[in-house]
Amino acid sequence: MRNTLLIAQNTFREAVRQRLVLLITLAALALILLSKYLLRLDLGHGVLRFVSDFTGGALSFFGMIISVVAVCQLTHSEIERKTVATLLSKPVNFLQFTYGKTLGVAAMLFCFCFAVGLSGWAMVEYTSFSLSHVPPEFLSDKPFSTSGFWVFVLCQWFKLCLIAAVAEAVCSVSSSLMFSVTVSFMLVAGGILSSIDISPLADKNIAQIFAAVLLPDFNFFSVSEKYAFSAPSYAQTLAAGAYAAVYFALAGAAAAWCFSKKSI
Amino acid sequence: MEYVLEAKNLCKYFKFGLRSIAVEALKNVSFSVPKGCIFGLLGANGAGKSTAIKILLGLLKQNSGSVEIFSSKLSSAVKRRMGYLPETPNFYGFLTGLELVSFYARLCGLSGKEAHMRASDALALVGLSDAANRRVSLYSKGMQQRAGLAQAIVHDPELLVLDEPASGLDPVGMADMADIILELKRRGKTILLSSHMLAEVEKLCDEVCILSRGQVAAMGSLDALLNKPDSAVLGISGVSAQNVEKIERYAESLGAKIDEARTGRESLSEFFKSVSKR
Repeated sequence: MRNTLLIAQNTFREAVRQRLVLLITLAALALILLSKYLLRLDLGHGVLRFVSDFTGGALSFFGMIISVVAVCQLTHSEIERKTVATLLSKPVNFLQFTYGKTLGVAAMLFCFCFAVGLSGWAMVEYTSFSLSHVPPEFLSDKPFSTSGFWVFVLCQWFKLCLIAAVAEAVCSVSSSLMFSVTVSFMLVAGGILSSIDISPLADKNIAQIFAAVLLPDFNFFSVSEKYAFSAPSYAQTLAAGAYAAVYFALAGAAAAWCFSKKSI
Repeated sequence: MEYVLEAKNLCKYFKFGLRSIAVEALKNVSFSVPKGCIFGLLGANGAGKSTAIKILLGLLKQNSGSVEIFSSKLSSAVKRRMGYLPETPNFYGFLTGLELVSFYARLCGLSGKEAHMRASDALALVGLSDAANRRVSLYSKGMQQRAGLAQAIVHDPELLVLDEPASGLDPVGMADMADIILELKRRGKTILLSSHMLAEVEKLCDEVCILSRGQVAAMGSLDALLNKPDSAVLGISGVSAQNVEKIERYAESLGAKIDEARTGRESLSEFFKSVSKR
């Protein structure tokens, strides 16, 4: 465990220095801060809901890009620079290596979610303050729940950690950064599409069953989208966290096994 | 005699392409490294040195054969007693030299404080004390090689595996590296080094194993392999230029041959070392 955390700490330090991660984070923050002024894109939401959904969208979209790109970039650079050989010559096994890399990225994603969540919350509070003179009966929003909003951000972090684990598993079987990034995005897209199909397992064909079982089910995390304007369900949040943790553990173990078969 | 490392009948092949054509990298390679010795694993490019080393470190799985280090199979406990300097070491550029060596020390089980202390000592031994707080990305090639050696020795391992330790070093750097390796031997370490810089290997190694096309071509102590008891080589100094011809004629009368006679000229390597400043 100690070596896993050491590798995670080192990976976190390397991950936060990646320019792409910083650029994407800044882009997400800029969009959120401008969300109030982009209200013309509104498709009928209330003002606060629009700003909150914009934050959710930024977390989901930009977070997914950072998850996949950061993991693939960090893992492939270890292999290309052969720093992985020096690492594995120490008393470190493949399991500690893969969990360490993914935990380091998870820590970086936590910082990203916190920064974006904080700017989203600040924007909602500012928008709420600027609407304080408007009588409530003229506002279409339900009251904004700060605790619900942060539970939603937490669920998004769980989702991004799961995506990072998927990307790590792809890297373990890939010898090229482009292949890893492309296939990871395809798997995530497959998971999103598979999650849309809520028909029972018995009604699915083999390919659909395969996708439903192997690809991540993002329905666990999408239920949290309404928490910002309603009471959060802590049981569902725990379930989402547990699902992400189990998937993370299994994907990490699969990645470790695949790395052990690779020629480094 | 106690052997620290014993490799027996190692075979390794790689399969390439859709037709899975097998390329044999190692074929029945066996060698044993005695305790306290500097053992050279030599061979031309592609002879199988790096493949053998990767198998010893557990980075590659052999197709057949066995490796025993400290009389047991490779495990975390065994790895704690080993240090490895990779060929052309690459490290995390955002870390300073001290942070880098401390990181690897902590991976070997040292506590934070002890790792920091040992890292400072290791960097001092390899001559990087002044650059310890500089980022590794700003190090020259020679400095990176030294940092690589520092991370290999920081946890005081008993066995050191050095893959091309003089790679990319200038003559002064090579001489410094050789001095460090001899110092480590003096401290009781067993060293397995792979190289194709034969002049340096000849100065350092007690025993060698020469690989050729994945097989052992020769193995043994340098004295046993290189000594020719029926002949002697003389090096004569202090001869004036007028007497060179007389000595050549006398040598020929005894059936010997003068391979080289040069006047008043030191080698470029010696001159380089004398003028290069550190």
